[in-house]
Amino acid sequence: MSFDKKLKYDRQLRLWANTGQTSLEGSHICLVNATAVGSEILKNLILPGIGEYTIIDDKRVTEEDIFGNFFLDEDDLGNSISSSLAKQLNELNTDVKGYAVSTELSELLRGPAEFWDKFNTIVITNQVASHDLDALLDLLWERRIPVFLVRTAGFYGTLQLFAKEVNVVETHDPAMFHDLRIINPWNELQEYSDSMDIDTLDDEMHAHIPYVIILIKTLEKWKKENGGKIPLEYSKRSEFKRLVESMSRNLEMEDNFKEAAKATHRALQFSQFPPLINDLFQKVDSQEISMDSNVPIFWIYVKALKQFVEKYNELPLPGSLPDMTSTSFAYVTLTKLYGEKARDDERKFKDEVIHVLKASGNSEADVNHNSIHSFCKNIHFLYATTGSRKLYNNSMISAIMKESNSLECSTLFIYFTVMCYFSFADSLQSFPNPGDLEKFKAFFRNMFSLPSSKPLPEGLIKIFKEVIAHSSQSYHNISSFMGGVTSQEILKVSTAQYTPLDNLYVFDGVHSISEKWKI
Amino acid sequence: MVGAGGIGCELLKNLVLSHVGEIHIVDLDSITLSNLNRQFLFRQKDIDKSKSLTVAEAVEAFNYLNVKLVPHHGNIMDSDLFPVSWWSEFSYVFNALDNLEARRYVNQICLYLKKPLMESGTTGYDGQVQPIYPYVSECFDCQPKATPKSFPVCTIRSTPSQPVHCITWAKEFLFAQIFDETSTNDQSEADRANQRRKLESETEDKAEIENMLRENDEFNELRNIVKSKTSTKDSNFFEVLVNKIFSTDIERLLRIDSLWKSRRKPTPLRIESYTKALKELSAERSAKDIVVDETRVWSVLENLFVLQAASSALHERLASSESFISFDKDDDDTLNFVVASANIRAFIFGIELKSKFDIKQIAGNIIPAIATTNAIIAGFSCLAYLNYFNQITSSDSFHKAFSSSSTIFTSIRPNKYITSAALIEPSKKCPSCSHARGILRFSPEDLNNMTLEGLIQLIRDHYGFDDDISVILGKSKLIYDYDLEDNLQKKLTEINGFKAGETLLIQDESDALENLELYIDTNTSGKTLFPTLKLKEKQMDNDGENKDEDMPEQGEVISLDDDEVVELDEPVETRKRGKESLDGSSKKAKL
Repeated sequence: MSFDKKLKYDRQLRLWANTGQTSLEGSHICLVNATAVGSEILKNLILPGIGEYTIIDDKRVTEEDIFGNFFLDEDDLGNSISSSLAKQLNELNTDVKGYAVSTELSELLRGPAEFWDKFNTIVITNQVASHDLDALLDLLWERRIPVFLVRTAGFYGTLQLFAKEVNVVETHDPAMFHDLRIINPWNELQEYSDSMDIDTLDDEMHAHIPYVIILIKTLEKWKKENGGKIPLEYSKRSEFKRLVESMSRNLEMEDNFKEAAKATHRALQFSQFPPLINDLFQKVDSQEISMDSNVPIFWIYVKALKQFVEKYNELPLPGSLPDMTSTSFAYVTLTKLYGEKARDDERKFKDEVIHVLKASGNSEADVNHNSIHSFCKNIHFLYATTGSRKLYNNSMISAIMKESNSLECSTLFIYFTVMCYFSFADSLQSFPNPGDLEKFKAFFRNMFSLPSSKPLPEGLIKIFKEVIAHSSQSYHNISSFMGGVTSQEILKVSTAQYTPLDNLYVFDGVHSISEKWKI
Repeated sequence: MVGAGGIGCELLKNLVLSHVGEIHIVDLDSITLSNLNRQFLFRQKDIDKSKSLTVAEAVEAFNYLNVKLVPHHGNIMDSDLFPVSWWSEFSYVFNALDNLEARRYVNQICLYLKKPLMESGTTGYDGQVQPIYPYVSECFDCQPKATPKSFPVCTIRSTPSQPVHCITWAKEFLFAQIFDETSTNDQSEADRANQRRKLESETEDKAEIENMLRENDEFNELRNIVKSKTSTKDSNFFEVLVNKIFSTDIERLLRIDSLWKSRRKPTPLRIESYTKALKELSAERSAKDIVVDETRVWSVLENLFVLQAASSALHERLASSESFISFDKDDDDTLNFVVASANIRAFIFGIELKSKFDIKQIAGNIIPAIATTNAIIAGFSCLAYLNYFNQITSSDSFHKAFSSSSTIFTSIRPNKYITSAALIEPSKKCPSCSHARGILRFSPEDLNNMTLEGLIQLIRDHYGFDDDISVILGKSKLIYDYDLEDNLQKKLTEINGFKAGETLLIQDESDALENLELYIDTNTSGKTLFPTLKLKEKQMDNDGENKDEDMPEQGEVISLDDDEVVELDEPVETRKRGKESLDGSSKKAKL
């Protein structure tokens, strides 16, 4: 990266580092509909330096478009909206390439499907014809391209992520955790521990035994006294903690024993397998994942990890060591031991990766050392989830129709109302007016196949009225807010860092409330 | 709008598109390259231009709603540039600031003038907006704010245990002692005694104090070497420096047994073992690329090489043109010097080494910042402002807005994406809004002729103080109490610092009435006006602690003694707005 770029992006590199920036700069984002919220999303992605973007919109700029969109002005009236917007946005960052496509979406959908393959993420904003939306979602779902659908109506906003699966290695989990291998120390660590005869040390040296060693030795003692059992339950761990404390010559004076006692629970707890790993192992062997040349690298790693575990009966060691009271010599020795073991494990893990790559018809040249390293470091913090292609499901419908909850689920009311609002405009070629309340109610019943015998909840009708009364899709502060949230989620997907939305987000700008739902 | 940076750019756009009538924009900063990743109204060509003037110009191009934009390039705390009469013109104040001092100042002004204020801020993915309705909701000072961390001198000088201790040592101590203006060359006896007293307040260890004082003297020698105009080529500055700070000083520390009773001992660096490798490395052409490799942690040898290069560059600069050099994170010579010396010290003390990138963040107090969080926060800010304007015609607008506004927090944690909390009433212990305050408008004649005694009499008469009072001018200048009568016969203008834009704090020495704070202003057309205020009886301190005080901040992580880390949910009492709701399918979490 050039010096200027480093400086320009300095404040964000501190969040997602060079790896995240490289992924971002390699991404191509597609925006369907040049709306106010769409402009905000692109602005927030262009500033941090997304690689390329394409705006798809065949419409011409109208008075209505100018209102609420900072990047269009009167000179643009009557011109292609996608070109006008791209022209303004391109000025934001010379590192970014922007393109405009003034073709109707339905025509693009009739064309070759490969058109969409160049995009890493697609954002659809506000109104799209229902059959086009379905066709596009189907197409991209199969091609594993994540889609964000974002809509703004009055003071409300909704955002949904459609992605077959989302897997994250660099989750930036804030938990301060170190895999210390207290329960099952490897040979070198065991030997080092054995080389210390702690009973014969003088008081000063005794107060400088690193707590890793204290815990290993205490556990040996515990196992002797408890028939080889390891203290796993909470009560046993607490008992173990007292045993640690009892091994100190003077707990007031020996910080290292205090640290050991303090670290007990976590050190024992985290020597076990994270539950997610077992789920991933099951999944990688199931029908869901076909290990072929198109399989995402994440599953190659999972498969390799499974083989690693089968061979060595442990996970690769991340190798990090917390600060602790110790002599410099002992601490440096431990740092070396953990570092060497981590490097050794990483090498062995890489061998498994190469094995899996070959077996699945991929090239050995695909091995990326940095990403393997990152996977090993983050093994306890992986994130994986499967998404939904559906816009809603039946249990959501029954939830909003429950009579007792007129207030409790207002954000679901908002979600369904906004969905209906755009469908209404699609079917009837205009957004509902304040006089259209009854028509809107009927449309809603019809859209979600609700029997006319059952009254619509009062809370829902309140939301209908609110949305219809405004009849605006571009209040600027809502566009600004939803644009911020959506681009934040796109950044997570593009940088492959942090945990993205799973999978529906609804914002109520009247009350400043938001909720997340999983469909 | 105070501040035209990350939040300011976004907010200005939102306000203009919401069709606000007139917006004044104040900022004292100029545009830098690292602003461009988020401050979308600025371009590469705008670097070094005034932020406030540039945003106004940039928005003018899009200003088809004809919002009146008035930019001011200046410090908001300058009461000559921005007197109280200027402030009174506004119906709403937005803070889009990056520092505590200015935030506090604007908060104070808004309290005096009873102006609604929107406080906002972001750090990386975290952000917050807080609407402030003076005396109705909490003001900025009601909740104590975390002040920048500082470390005891002894930790920095003798017993570091974290990377930040070594970085602080390298920047605040080592670098400042050798290169910067502030350190004194020939110390007087008084200075020494002063230093000794300061150290004695932090440690009782006599040997440690003596050692630190001795180190100081020796730094003066080093300073003399770099200051001497001898050619840098013949200078042995680097050798003397490295020997002193990484070998001699460490050995001396090791001799103070009391320091190492319960600590890990440092290992002095054996410089001679690196000399040969350092020479070889220096001869390599690729060696100069080390400093550019900012995200990799350098080896000890590489750090020595960088320290050597930086020392010689700094020495050269002092020998040729500059009389002193201050640390600046964007001055690469100074940054390299700090990075390398901090890392070698860390190695000696068995502390983790850090990359140049990470050390720059710590030494330069860099706060991560991105467009998305600013856009979200500015969106909220503008929404909450619209909410207030819905109530503005009501006579009771602050109370109405109070019950319908929220404080909002955003974060990256999936279950805490947005948290909104009902506003709460002002803290009874707030140093700013718990007592009476108002603006005292002097006629020019009174300001020039009135004596302090005359003023005090008027204050007594107006506010009903029975007993003796004390008067403090500005932050801490006592101008009157029953022991200090020297100023009584002086005219107000003869009292140093007594002028428009300053404040007077009046305290009732008998503790009968609450404190009174008066802001001094002039009233050019007419007579002296005292603000109409009814002072309350003073609340005694022992009438029960404020319950909120021990309540943890939102999202704070509390570590219990057995190290089970517990993340607190929103404190229940203040988080009324959040609500439970049932789920459509199976899993659900509130963002």
